[in-house]
Amino acid sequence: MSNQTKFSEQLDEDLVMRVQQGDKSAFDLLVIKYQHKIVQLVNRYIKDPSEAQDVAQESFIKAYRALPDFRGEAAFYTWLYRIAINTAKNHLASRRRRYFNYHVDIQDAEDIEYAPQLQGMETPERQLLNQEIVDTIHSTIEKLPEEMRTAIMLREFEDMSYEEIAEVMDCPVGTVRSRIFRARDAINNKLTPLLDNGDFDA
Amino acid sequence: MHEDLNQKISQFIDNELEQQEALNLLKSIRSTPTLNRQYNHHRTISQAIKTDTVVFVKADFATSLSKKLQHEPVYFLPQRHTIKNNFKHIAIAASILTVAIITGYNFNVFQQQSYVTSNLQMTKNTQKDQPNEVAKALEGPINQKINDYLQAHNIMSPNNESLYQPYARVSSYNQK
Repeated sequence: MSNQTKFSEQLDEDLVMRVQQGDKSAFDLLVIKYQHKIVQLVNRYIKDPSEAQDVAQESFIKAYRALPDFRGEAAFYTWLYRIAINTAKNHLASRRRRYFNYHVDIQDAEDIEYAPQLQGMETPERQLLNQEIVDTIHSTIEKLPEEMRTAIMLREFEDMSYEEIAEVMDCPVGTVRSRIFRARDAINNKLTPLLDNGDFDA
Repeated sequence: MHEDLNQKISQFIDNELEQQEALNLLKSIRSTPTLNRQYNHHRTISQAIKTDTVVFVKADFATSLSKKLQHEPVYFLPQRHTIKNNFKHIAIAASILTVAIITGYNFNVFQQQSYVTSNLQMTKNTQKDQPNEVAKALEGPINQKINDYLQAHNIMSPNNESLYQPYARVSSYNQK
């Protein structure tokens, strides 16, 4: 097990244990840690960012209710992902059922077949905003100094640990940490106006 | 201070922050809206780099969920961690006990063997003068078979010589 996984799993184990022993607020920390991954995962099924937020919340509620039965045989995040996937699938199934209940005309068969995809379509404005964000990220990465660009690319695309990156780049781990942070900060500074325009930001 | 926390957010996203530091950071994110905003941005950027898709998460996602969970029960389960630790202790104690038993057993066997060896050695030295001591040394349970074997040879012996002298006799018989 790598150090990265070990730190993360130890934290999860600690937080789960706290929740199981009466510290409800520890669950908030698990939510903060996993909310982005769960929303993204659910969105792959639901294909509607707004609806994905609700389904993700439902997944967390189900996870909280099932937490007394969680014995730690599997890692917490795999257990949580399983709950999220099942919740998303159930949501899709109930959405299809609702559609069938209201549209029973046989002539609508073709529409019914494509209904989930149609319902999952993002608005053109949203798609445009997303594309702009992705383009800005790539252009900012291209303009970064070479050391920073290499560090962030090895981290994000190759999923390498700081230690591995330090070995590849022949520099101390602290330097890698700093380069990755500065690269992210530079991207964030470019993106802040766009990200703040996102419907879901504060 | 703020810069330091932002750097820690970056480390946390990469799972490079140790448990206690990560715990403290999560608590700070929960209680500080600006830090929560930074965290959201960094997560969104990281996912966008990896997947080329942008999925926003509402800034109040965690707080609104926390409100929904207010009516849910609080759990007070037995301490799983302690039980786990106890198992660890029991396993360690059992291992030590097993090692002690094996070592003790081996030590006894060694002592027994060295006792027999030294007795045999002594017997060899005094074989001619004190033949009965050879017999005594061979009376030990380990040498029961040898004893039986030698006795059997004695019984078969045509000269009705005294018991427990056969070792030399059998050897000399073979030599003949």
